[in-house]
Amino acid sequence: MNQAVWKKRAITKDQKAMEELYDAYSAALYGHILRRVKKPAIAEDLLQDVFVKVWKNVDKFDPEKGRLFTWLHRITMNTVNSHFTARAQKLQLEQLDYTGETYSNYSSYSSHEYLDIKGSISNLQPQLKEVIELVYFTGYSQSEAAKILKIPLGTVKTRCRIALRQLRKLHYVSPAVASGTLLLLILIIL
Amino acid sequence: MKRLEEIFASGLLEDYVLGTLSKNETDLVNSWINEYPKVKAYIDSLEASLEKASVKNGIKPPKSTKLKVLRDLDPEYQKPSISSYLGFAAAFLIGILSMFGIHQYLEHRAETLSEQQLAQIKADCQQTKDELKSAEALLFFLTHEATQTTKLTSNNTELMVYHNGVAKQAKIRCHNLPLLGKNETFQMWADVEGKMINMGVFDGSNHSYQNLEFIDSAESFNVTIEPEGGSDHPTVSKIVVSQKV
Repeated sequence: MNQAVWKKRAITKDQKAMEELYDAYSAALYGHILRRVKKPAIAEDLLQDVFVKVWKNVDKFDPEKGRLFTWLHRITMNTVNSHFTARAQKLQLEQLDYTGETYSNYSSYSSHEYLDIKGSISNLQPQLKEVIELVYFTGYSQSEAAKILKIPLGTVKTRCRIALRQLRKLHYVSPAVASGTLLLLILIIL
Repeated sequence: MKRLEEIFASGLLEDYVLGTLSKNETDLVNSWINEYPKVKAYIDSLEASLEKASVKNGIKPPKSTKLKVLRDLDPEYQKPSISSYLGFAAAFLIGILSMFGIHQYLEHRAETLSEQQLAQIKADCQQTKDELKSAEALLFFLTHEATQTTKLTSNNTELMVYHNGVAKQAKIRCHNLPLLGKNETFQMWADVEGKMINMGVFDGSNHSYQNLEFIDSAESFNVTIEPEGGSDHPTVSKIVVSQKV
């Protein structure tokens, strides 16, 4: 999907553009939401909210500053966090003993069915994998992740950075490496 | 170059991708993106890695969600138009009318068929009944104790005369009578006291029973060939067969 072209179509409220976006990314975004809220009915509502926000704010997406999916992911995580903030406020208003859904419930997350992360993430070291799962896939802030994992905030930040660099290496082949590999192959064939 | 190394080592680029930077820090990274294509490419590769991982770990929402989402964005999404509603209605109406028409036709046809069939069956029954009645009557006549049988033969010609004085009936049954000429017929005569009395004409067809006039006290039966319609007196030169009773 050409992001700049897609944006132009979406700004004109081209229905097909939004359908294509839904087909391409709904599963990825729904996965992020469901891992956090754990309830499919709520996750569906939030996914709906996400697409409404995307539709209304599509003019704010800047293809020069980042990828479309990164922008979608941020909107998704903001929507999820807003959901929990609103819920927390409601509970406080009702004077219930709210200790925060996030920290107290994390222990159950390790065995949660939705947290079965596949692909390159599973190749990371366990300490790196868990911070990425919490911060990126589940949408916790780094401070929340530090509290959940009972490690310093600085450690969470460092692990996040290392994890991202390692992931990049797993996915990304630099042009120099790619051309060297191609040259080597040609030499072997000759 | 040293500046770029510092930027990559800062960790701010990874934090930028994760969206954990403050407003000021975000603006700073945006300025690097504009200034250094390598920074832009690096950030793009980080984002691409996370996108791949997200897509790989996606969970498909229920199918119904798509319609809900897209209807939320555009209430007219995939809603049938008025014209298609009308088309639907027209097709439905045509379907109903066709079905009604077919039903009426079949019902009418069934009625017609059953009436025709019933009439045919009735006619067949009546015919069978009549044939049975005739056969019974013939059997009764042939086996009746008062029925006298006289066999008239000549060469291959054979003719049976059944004569019943009680019923006052006479019948004949022919076999191998000679061929008739044009405008000729067979005629039966009963000899009563030397006088030939007309018993009627017949066509001489094989094995069929034909009725003739009953003549009491016949001494002999005689068959002649006569002009079509018969004669008042027998043509003696054209006697086919003759037999005393």
